[in-house]
Formats: sequence, structure tokens, C-alpha cells
Amino acid sequence: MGKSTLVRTISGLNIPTAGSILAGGRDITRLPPHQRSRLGIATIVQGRGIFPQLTVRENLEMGRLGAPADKPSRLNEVLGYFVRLGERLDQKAGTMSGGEQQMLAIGRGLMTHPQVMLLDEPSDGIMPVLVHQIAEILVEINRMHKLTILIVEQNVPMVFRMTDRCVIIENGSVVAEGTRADLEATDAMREYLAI
Amino acid sequence: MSDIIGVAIDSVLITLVLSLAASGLAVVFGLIGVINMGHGAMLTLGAYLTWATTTAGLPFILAVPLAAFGVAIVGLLLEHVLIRHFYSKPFETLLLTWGFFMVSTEVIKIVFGTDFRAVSNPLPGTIEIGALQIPAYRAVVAVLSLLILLTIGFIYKKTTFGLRIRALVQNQEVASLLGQDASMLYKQVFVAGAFLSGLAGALISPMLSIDPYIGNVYLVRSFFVVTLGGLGLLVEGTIIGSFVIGGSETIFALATSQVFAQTIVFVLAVVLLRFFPRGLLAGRD
Repeated sequence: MGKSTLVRTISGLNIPTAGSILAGGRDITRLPPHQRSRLGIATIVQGRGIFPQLTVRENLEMGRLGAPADKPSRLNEVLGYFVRLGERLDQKAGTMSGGEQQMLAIGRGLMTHPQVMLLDEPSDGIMPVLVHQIAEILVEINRMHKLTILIVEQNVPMVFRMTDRCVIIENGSVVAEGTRADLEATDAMREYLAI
Repeated sequence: MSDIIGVAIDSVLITLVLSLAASGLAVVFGLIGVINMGHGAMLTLGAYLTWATTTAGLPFILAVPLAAFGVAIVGLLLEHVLIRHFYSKPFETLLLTWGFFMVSTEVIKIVFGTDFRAVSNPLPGTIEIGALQIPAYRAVVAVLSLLILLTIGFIYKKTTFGLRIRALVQNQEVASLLGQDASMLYKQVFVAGAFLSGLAGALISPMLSIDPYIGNVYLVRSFFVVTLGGLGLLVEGTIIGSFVIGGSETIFALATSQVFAQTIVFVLAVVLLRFFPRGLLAGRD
């Protein structure tokens, strides 16, 4: 299984051929994506998956519509994290840059009040300066909301800046796992990761 | 001069009535991509239900919504039993809705017979504007058509339900990842389309003789309307498409015969689609 396939399978877009997926002890293997989302799993797909013909505001509203009814809107909070979105609320999302679209996708996911956020290649096609900025914001979100973030990423410096624990998967197999310190401990692994 | 004004008014009336007739298809084909060959049959069913209920003594004003809801229920059954399994397969849904058209036409023949039926005009008489006389019922249906289209546009652009649909149309996977039940939204859109087709059949029924094939004319014209206007452009696309297909015919008929005008319109539609394959207003959404 590939890395993106893993994210798609957890989110319910792919049906696993074997094994099961548990969320909070509950078997969700056969649940459709919308029900998994309602359980608190937010997925930011590779390529960002914004709705290009909707405005930024409408994209964020779609996130709010996916939140539990008793939860307050997180719009101000999201606009606090991603100031650029606030400046572009009435702009069509498809006209924004890749980095801004990624911010929108993350902000929209946050609007759903998730307990787990899955991110598939968030640095893909984004300027390095924005990658750094997004990584910092994700760390802050993780700290502020105690939100579990599972990130699939090939940008190793970004991953090391953000994560507590890493699992290296290649061709469907786990090659190594551990903390940043664990993975940087051996020359072989540093060479493998090209760091 | 009054001839020209008369033709212009007639053109507007025909455009709006055709917009109403095409609105159900604009929703089902334009939004969720189902090539609904049963659209005409749903329109026919709406007309027959109106005839049956008014003949049984129900006031026309109650018969119209009843017919629309009746067709919506038929649409719900069709969607639930067959269509929902094939949303991502356009050719299969085309065949299924074609099958629905054939079966429902035969059922209509068995239940209502093949004789022409007529629904009494609930608003006989004319509205006089200067020297012009406009059939009152046709004018009311035209105004209602405009209101119905504007309501559809409002729901689509300004409500939460419309937002969910617009998101679904753009990216079904992501919409479902945001907690939206795509199957339920598809169902609601299909049933709304059936409701509109039934409503159109009911409102148009007093303006023509009803037979089991009455919807066929509207089926072909509605497809031209929706494709010419542009898929997903529910209000402006439907009105522009209806003008090209219906309204302009009246104008061409001024200079030539009705049959030749029809030919001109369909040739024009084919030529326009050659140069604007995504519709005249494509890219304006």
C-alpha cells in the first residue's frame, strides 16, 4: 500500500482488501467517508481539493456544515491562523495560489472540529517560504487544539520540523520508524533520507 | 409596429414557457450529469395527473402541485430503485431513463388511453395592452416560469442546500470528506428535477391537447436548451437556450413559414454548438 493510499483508506475513499480501521475503539472499516468525517476525521487530499468555483468564504462554510451542530463556528480562529484567507474571502478559490489553496484546505478541515487531521503531501507544488509558514501553523494548531495530525509527506525537513513520530514507508513497506532523533541517529538512515 | 411588439411579446412568452419545460432537465442533466431521457415522460405524466385530478373535480390550483408531487414520487422511486447505482455511468443512466420513458409511456396509454385529453383553461380570456391581446393563462404561466427559475437560482446560489450541491458538483470526493452524504444529495437533486418536470407538465397542460407523446417535443427541445445555455447555468443558461430554441422561432416565422423557422432554429442550434460546445454562457459560473 502506498502513502496516499493509506490516507485515502483511513478517510474512506478506498476500501481495504484486508485488515480493519479503528477510531476510538470503533471499527470504521465499512463506514462511508461522510460518516467518518462526522466522527472527527478531517482529510486534506493531495492537490488540496478546494472547490475552485466557490469563494473562500463558501469553501470555509462547507467545512462548518461538516461540523457537529452543537459546535461554534471556527471562522475567526481559522482567519487568525491564515490571515491571507481573510483578505480573500470573496475571491473564487480557484484563482488563488497553491499555497493559499493549501491554507484554505487546512482551514476548511479545521472548521469541521476534527479530532484527527490527515494531510496528504501538503508541501506539494508550494513555494518553500509558504511550506515553512504552513508547517509552523500546523504545529500551533496541534499544540492549541490537541489535534492529532497524520501527515504524509516527502519533504523530510518539513516532517522533522513538525512531527513527534515518523514512519518511513517505501513501496508499501515500513522501512523505519521512530522520533526524529531515532531516525537521525545512524549514518545509513541520514544518507537514506538525504539529510 | 404593433406586429413587431406582438412578435416580441410572443417570443418572450415562448422563451419563458420553454424555460419552465426545460428546468427539470437543466437541474438533473446540468448538475448531476444524468442524461434524463425520461424528462419528457415526466412532463407528460404531470399533464395527465393534472387532467385526471381536475376531471375528478379538484380545482386546478390544487391539481398543479399535486401533479408535481406525484411525478416527484415517481422520480424518487426511479432514483432509489435504479438510477442511484449508476451515477458515475452516463451511458447506463441514459439507457435506464430511456427504459423509464418507454415503460411509463405504455403505462400512460393503458391507464389514460390514447385519445387526446384537454385540461380546461383556468384563466380564459386575454390581457389587452393597447391593440395587443395576450392570452391571460399563457402570460401567467410565463410569469410563473420566471419566478420558478429565479427561485431555483436563489436556492442554488444563496442557500446552504445550494452550496452543498455546488460543492458536490465540483468535487464529490471532497464534499463527502466534509461530511456531505453524496448519495442523499444526488437523490434530492434528481427528485427536484422530477418535481420541476411534473410542475411544467401540469402548468403547460391547459395550453395543448394531451397525448402520451406530448413530452417528446419538449424532451428534444429541452436538451438543446440545456446544452446551448451551458450545463449548470440554471437560470441565465436556461433562458438564453430557450430563447434560441423557442423564442427566436417566432421571430424567424415573421419572415418565413413556421416549419422553415423551426428548421432554421435547429440548424442554428447545431452551428452554435459547433462553436460553443460547452454552451453560449460557458465559463460564466
